[in-house]
Amino acid sequence: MTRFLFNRLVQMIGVFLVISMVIFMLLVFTGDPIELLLPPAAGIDQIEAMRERLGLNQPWYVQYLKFLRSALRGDLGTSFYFHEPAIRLVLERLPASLELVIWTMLISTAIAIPLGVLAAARPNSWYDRGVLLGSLVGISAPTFWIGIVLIALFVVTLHALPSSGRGGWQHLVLPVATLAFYRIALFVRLIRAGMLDVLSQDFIRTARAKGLYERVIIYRHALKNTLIPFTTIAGIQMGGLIAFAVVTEKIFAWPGMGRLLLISIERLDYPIVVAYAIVTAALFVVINLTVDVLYALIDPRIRYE
Amino acid sequence: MTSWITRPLVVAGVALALLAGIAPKNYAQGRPVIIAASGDAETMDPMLTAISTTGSVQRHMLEPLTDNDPDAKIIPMLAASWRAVDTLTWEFKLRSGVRFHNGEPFNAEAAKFSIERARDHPKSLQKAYVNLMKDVRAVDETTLRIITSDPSPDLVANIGAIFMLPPRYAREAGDEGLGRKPVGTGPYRFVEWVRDERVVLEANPNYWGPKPQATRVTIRPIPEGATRVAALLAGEVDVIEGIPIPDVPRVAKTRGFKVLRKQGPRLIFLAMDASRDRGGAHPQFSPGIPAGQPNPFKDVRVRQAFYSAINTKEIVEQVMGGAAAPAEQILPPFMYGYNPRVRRPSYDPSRAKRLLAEAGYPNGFTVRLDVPTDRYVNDREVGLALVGMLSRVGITVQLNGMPRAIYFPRMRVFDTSLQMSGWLTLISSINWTAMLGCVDPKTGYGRANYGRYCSAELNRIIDVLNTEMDEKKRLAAFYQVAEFTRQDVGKIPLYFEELIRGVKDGISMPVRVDEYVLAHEITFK
Repeated sequence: MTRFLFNRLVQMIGVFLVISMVIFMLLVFTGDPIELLLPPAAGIDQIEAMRERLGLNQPWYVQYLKFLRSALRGDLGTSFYFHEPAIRLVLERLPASLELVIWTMLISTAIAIPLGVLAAARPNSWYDRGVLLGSLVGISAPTFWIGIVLIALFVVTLHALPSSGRGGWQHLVLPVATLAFYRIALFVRLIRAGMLDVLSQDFIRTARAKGLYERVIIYRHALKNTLIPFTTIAGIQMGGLIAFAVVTEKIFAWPGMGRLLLISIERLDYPIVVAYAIVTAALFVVINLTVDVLYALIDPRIRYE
Repeated sequence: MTSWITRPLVVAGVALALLAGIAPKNYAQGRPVIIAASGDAETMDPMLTAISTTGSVQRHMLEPLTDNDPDAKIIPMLAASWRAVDTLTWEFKLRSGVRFHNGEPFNAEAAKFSIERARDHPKSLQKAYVNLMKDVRAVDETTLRIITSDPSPDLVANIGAIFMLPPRYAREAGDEGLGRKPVGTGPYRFVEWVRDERVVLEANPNYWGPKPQATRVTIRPIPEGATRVAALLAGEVDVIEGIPIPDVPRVAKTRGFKVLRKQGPRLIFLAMDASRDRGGAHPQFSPGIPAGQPNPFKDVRVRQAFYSAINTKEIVEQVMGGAAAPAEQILPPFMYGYNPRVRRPSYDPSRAKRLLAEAGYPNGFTVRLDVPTDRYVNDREVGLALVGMLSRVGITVQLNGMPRAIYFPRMRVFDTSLQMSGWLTLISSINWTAMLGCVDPKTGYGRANYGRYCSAELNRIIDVLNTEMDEKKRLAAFYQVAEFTRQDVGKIPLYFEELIRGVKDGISMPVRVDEYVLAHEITFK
């Protein structure tokens, strides 16, 4: 296990290097933010001076090496617009993003597992078809549209919930519902397909032949075996949500990381985008690691040597 | 009062107070107001930003020497009066008895400190406003003299961009402190700032000017326009900045709410490559014209033809939903130097065809039109409308839309033959200098001249705009540039975007052409 963790750590450093380099190249080839940064009163002479001061007139590999050198000292750069360390700006917003994501994952899983299990238990029934159709809608509906419809209904018409911002649980309801919509649909399909697969296997027939209760077969034997692929996808979804709940965070003015990413990409605030990519990569590494450990807990046959 | 009346009131009050993030005890002091802005401030340091949503937040707490009224007219603020002593010297008389929120006195030393910080701070984004100010002198408590390196007729307007800071606090707090907690002379004092959630301000009890009616202000950044509208209609906020055009009729029709609108100063215009002779690969050739073909835009008749072929009225009505005004010239009518005699040519496709034939293009030609897709209101749709209009006179237009992060860096290196962009300043000479001055790193001209149009004659008149201290001669030069450009078509002005605000009934406030939304300008009915 220690060796496994050590290997993962080495991999992680490699991932950081590759990601930061790719992002850097992409950004430098896109262009620089000076046009958007300086006020209209500034002439083109000042644009050149600014490019020079920020080192943006150098080739990408020079800029990248400089970045690496200060990164080794723990400095991932300073935002062009906020004039604060980029990593601090990103991490400041992590708790808000996590709050949104954890609730979304809890609620999606809590709803999706029973729905999916029941559908698999009675394949091709009316209930099963209803769940499939509903999940198709959930997967296809664009996030933006769901968010706006929820706001129109619960905020403007019913005056039941706040439109946006962060605060009490009321502020969580709409953004979590918006994000959960797709996840519930996805998870229901995963659980259903996984269950159907497992239920057709020999050990389930054995269990039935032994005369076990159907409930025990489904929840104890079948569901547990379905959870392995489900955990993988849920982990990926969770990472994706923390980093890229961009649309939802914008609609509901949620003060999370996605909103910062959006505005930083629009304004070419490189240091934030790079710091963001690194934080995101770290998140995924941690989540994947957790998923691997969960595997071993769920399925005792899995061992890491 | 009986409890069945008071209880709901108290509940409503507490709810409002919680929404605003304030303790109920402050509620009694006056009327609070919640403003939904389109974005949060990046920093509270006034010298390190050039973004209007940020300036708008800061302006509640910080004040400049000169200001502009809601219609861009220059008015006194912390400077009570000013005069040009000679062509290189300006003298400002400052208000006396004004104090910063921390008790520091506002005086000529503080003004000198603030101007020099804008000029000399390595990260300052405001150098453009003050770089001609060679020497700033505090003559006495209330007299400030500024010696410029060149004649600077726009100095009074430029200095309005610089917010005054208390020197002692600035030194003690450092950049970090100034960026997080601003101290100024303004009508509001800083209370708290929760990034991306809210900025809270309270009325400054010692304010030197008229006391604001809105005593407690919360500014909430809500980036999505549809959500801002929902927040207004649900009664969560009192004022919203920017209503998406499709939502305007809905807000106007809903009882209890009003839409405030005004023609803004942001010009949307077309620029044509006026420098390269042939089409082909960028940068040597003009990238939007088929390789080997001559560049038609070098011929003034082609530029005039494009001017006549574009029906701005139709764009304004059909694409912009009426939320724009056709541009007669580069400047909007409310700005200094607008020439009332210069009108845009009337929409006339047959004249356009005739001009194209005279220029040797009876069957038109093919060109790529570059537009941003996320920068201006309905920018992509306006691009589509232009494709249709130009096709009616035989021009085949390939529309090339790009997100702004890609668009502007490409425009900056002139990777375009025909492009649309917008421009906004409230200083008239900068508009001409940036849009039509010959691109030249020595003069700094041509910042927004992506077509690299260059006329030696026009450039000379633009020099006059930037240096002439005599009002009459200068105004004549402004009239002249507008007439010249109408004939030579260095740019095709299209329209000015409208500024749109939504407010609750009972709230009055001017719509400001500098795009600021200022709580101290609110009056309650």
